[in-house]
Amino acid sequence: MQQYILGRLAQGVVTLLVLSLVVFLAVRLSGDPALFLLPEGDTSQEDYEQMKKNLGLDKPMYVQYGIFMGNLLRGQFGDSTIDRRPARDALFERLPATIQLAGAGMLLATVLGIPLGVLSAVKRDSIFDHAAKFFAIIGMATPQFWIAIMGILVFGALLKWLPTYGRGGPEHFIMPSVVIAWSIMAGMVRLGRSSMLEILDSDYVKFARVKGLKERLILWKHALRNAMIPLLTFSGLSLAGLLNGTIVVEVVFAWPGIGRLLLEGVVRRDIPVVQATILASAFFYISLSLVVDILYAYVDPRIRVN
Amino acid sequence: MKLLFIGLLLTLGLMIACGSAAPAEPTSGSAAPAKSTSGSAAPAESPTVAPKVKQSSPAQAKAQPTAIPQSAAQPVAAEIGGTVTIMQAVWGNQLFDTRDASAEVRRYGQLVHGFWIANNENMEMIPGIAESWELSDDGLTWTFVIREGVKFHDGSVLTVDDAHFTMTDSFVPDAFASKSSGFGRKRDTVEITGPNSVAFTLKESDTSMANVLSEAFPSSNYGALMPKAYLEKVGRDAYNDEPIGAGAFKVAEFKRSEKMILERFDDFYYQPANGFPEDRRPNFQTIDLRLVPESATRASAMEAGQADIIEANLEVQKQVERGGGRIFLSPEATYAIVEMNGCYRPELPCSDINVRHAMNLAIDKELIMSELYGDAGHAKGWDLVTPSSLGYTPGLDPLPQDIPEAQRLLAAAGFPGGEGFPKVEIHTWVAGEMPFMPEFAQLIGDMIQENLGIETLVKVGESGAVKSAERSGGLDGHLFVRPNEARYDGGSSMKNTYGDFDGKSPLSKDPAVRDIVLDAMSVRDPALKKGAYEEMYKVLREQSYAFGPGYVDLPWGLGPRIASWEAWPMNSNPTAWWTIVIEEK
Repeated sequence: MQQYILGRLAQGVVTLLVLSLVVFLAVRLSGDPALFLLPEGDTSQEDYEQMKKNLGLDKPMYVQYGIFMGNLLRGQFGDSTIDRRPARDALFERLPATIQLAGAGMLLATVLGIPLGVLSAVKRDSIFDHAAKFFAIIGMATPQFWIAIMGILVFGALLKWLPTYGRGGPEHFIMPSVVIAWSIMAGMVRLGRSSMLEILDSDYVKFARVKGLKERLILWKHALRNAMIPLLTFSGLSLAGLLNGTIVVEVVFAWPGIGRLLLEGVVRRDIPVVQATILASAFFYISLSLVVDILYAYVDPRIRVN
Repeated sequence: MKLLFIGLLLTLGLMIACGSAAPAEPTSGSAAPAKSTSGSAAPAESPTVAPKVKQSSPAQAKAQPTAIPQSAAQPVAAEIGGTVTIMQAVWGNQLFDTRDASAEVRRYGQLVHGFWIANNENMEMIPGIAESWELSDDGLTWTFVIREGVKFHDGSVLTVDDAHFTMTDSFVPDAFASKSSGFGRKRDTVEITGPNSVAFTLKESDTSMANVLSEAFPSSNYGALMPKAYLEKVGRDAYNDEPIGAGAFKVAEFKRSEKMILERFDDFYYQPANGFPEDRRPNFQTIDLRLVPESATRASAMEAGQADIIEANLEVQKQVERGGGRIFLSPEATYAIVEMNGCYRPELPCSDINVRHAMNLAIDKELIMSELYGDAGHAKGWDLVTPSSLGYTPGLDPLPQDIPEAQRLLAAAGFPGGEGFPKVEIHTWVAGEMPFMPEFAQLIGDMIQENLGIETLVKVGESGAVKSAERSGGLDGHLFVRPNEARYDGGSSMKNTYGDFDGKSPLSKDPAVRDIVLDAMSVRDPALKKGAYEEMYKVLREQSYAFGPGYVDLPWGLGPRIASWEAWPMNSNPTAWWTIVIEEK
């Protein structure tokens, strides 16, 4: 197991290194940051040259990459070309907002999604099952942007029950976390249902019933534990996705998280910020994938043995 | 397994529990009623002309009784109260200094800072913290005489040392704000020349400096006076986190990308007690400034009573009205321009002035502006010149559509019916400051194609990519449609576009055109400058390297608590805040 974890860690480091090169090149191919920063139509050639120098873009590409990697090895990403602060500071400043929102969304999705999926499987083809299916389809098929805007319109503007924007007390979490939770919850319901159906039809569950075990024990201990494997993968990757920032939700709700930071960085050609957020996202993704893999071993002893 | 699951839930719960302890945000609804102060909502009656060049020597100016009496500050008006919640879409780079703060920072910088030169409602320059200024005969030395008794938000008095420091610190070659670095490169010396005067000497003449230092200049914080002692004590980074200035509002709280709470500064220098013709202190206590990027969210916030003033667009008008608010059009905020790129290259068809005129005349500007922007659109002005710009005359308004003449000119250029004319691409991007740019470009393309027989193709790209292509010559022979902020003095822009052949993106390399631009730019007397600019613009308009179909007003949504606001033209920033009157309904 230890060897496996070390191998995965090494893979993660290599992935991050390759990604750093890809990100470095990609952000430079997407347009000249110096042009973006200068006012349109009122800029001299000298202004342009000076801006390139200020941004370090006057140096050869390999020198720029060397500086970038040097910074990276020291845990830095360079200074934001927009607000002149270390990009790492901007990332850490925004991260708590994203973690809170992701945590709230994930908690909501898990607490509701898994039981709904299990119940949907147990009450197969009942009204409850159809309602859960409908709920899941709506959640998966409807764009988050629309749900968010409608939520704001109905619960914020018309009913005035909830704040329409921003980060603050618990009431500020309700709408954005419901919006991000819905699609994940929908996936959990569908995935949980199908996994449970498969497991409830298995020999060992039938044997447990024949043995006279209580149905609740069969469902929530023996069946759900096995059904958790696909759900664990789904949850882990969903959480990684949320930690990478839900750009749409953060923009619509004026939530100052890293999704919005990334969008602002891309739009403003803020190379260090884009690099920082993408590499941080990759780091979360790789880390959570690793955590999920380790959790597999605990959930399923066969994986541990193999 | 059970423990693991419980642990996971607890971790997620903790994430939320450790969250921001900030209170719920809605503020405007709970604001105390504001009481209007003495006639401050009335139109300004301040002097409407800038001091003439060489109006007074620093010594003479010092003798003038314009200094602020130390005891003159009005007592804090106990009845002033209330919060105005303003929601904006962008805040630039969210810095407060003069060296690096750039782009849309005026949206809050104009509230926090005191500027060398103030403006009136016609955008003309009037004395601000500088009670007078002059440009030397050789056009190299700008001398500013600062007012006595102006205070920063920490209560310290603004001195000539602060003025000297501001000039020295702001204008350096490696500044990020382009004018700061531009003047930094041109800077020769900065000297204290008297008890209240400071002189900025350039290596080459630049008559635009006063305009750049004025309050109404649309971007960056160039004209803001910096507190030397405070900035040196805390450092630039800390200053940008906890700034002070000499403006009408002091920063009480600042959370990047979220909010700025600005409190009324009772000692703001621009008030009748200090000899000014009007009180430019606000009629309310607090501005709660919010960064809310999505327009639908801003409109919903207004409908819910959580915002008083929002950056709006006409699409949300009904929603704003449903919340008891109204749309207010701040005049001349953004202009649109159509540029014909690379036409100085003789091998391109557009090097023939007939071709450029033909394209200009083929387009119905009135139709475009009215169909796309309704009441907010105006087919007036040329390029960056709108009715409030220095040098505007109605003679600069867009050429009316004349299809037969356009076709005749194209035939005279050797392309009858568009035959043999290469396909023209029309490049643009989706712009935040002016909606419908792709539709704008499409209408222009359709009119050129239908009226002249020239095949056109609209390409909507990303702004940075389009600008890069323009710079590299990739758009030569094609059209480039873009918006920009309206401006009072377009001289330096014209200089960069027509007077600098090696510049970023010159439209013309005609020496005769360049000389006209440089001549107009060399005029120092404000009284003569207007005429010089008018002549310059007329000549440039005749060349048709670029034409402007018109400008659009900036829609603001005003909530029911805003009784009145007389915002100034040519500004996307919250201007004339002292005219905002709030009331409870």
